[in-house]
Amino acid sequence: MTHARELDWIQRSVGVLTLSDRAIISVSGDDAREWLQGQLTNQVEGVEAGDSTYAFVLSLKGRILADVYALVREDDVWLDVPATQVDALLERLDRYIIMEDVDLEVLDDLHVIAAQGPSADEVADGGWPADRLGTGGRQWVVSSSELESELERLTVRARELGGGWVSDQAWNHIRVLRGRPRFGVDFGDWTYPQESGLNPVAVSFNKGCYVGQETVVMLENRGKSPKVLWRWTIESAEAPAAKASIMRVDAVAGEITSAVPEQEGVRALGFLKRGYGAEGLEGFTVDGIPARALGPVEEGPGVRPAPR
Amino acid sequence: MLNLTTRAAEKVKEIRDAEGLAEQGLRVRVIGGGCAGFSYDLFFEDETTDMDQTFTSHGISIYVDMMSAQYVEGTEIDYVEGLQGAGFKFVNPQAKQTCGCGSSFAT
Repeated sequence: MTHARELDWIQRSVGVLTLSDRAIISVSGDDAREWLQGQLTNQVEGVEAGDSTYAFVLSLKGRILADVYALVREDDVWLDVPATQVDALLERLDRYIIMEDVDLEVLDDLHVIAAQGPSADEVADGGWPADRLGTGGRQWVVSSSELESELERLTVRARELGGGWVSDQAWNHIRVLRGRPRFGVDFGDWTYPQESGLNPVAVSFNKGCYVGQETVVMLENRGKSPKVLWRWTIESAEAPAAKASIMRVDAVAGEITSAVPEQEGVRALGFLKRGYGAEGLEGFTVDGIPARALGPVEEGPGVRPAPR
Repeated sequence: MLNLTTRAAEKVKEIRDAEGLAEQGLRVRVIGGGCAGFSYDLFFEDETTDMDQTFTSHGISIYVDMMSAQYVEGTEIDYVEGLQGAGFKFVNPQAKQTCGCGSSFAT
């Protein structure tokens, strides 16, 4: 199995890595918490300093502009966001600041170091809980000047706990194995929350209004998603290209979004159109090669709601 | 400019008198959030600032800050009662879209 050692760390002890694809936006001001409550899909009110919440920022039409870890501090909230979305987020969020005392600032010098696995809380004090693969997790935000030394310090501690350092390549591989979609790859501004499979960890249905909520609630209560992310295995040694069609007989049943090769076959994430899951898990092909549906992302091991 | 309908003005006076707020004015504010992006906020207030525009409708003073004013220019505030509830209804000519409950809007 590829990256078997790192997978074992993340499932049994802890893996440490730098999340270089994330950026930090500070939200400060007297109205910051109340205002954020109206912007994010998950609860911000009642989250204590040192705790965090995972959520989406949606467009007015309900599509996902970013996935966010809101890292709550005593005097402000840091949003851990996809680095590619910083400009779009600033424009989207700033549009809804009218007279509220809210300031947004990109903190370019800050970086995210994550520890993922059941022993993550033992790696170091401080930081915030952030379970990105359903095995437990914690993360810290450090400056550029501290990044190397902190990563080394946390990695040494992870080794003491039976884990170690995880490369970007291994991280991407493992998140596919665990069935965890990634913003900008598996979901993004072309998807609704229900389609991502991340609703159990990212959306609250009793928090009250937020921008884009109406579409999400209507989809939840009145309709069904046109497509939903599923976990897949393909009987092939090589990963198919992104956006490869998932076929059932002669009909396009879905589309691959991520795929990684494993010794026993390719593991993948991909959208399945509504209706095809009810016809059984077998009988699919990708590039003419048999594929099997393992189940919706929402029900997989990579999506585990945090205890509250 | 912002107006209250006769029904809305009567309801505002009824609430204001019941809460013992004498001659306070009605603050109309737009805040970021709500399903459609912007939400209305109404409350009584007796202080204004240099940032406020002040209107009078049916004898009631209405205060709107300059930022909110650009989103509610020309709005009429009505009061409606029905089987599904009662409340103030904003008829905002700038709203291109409202959420189902009518409490938020998009421009």
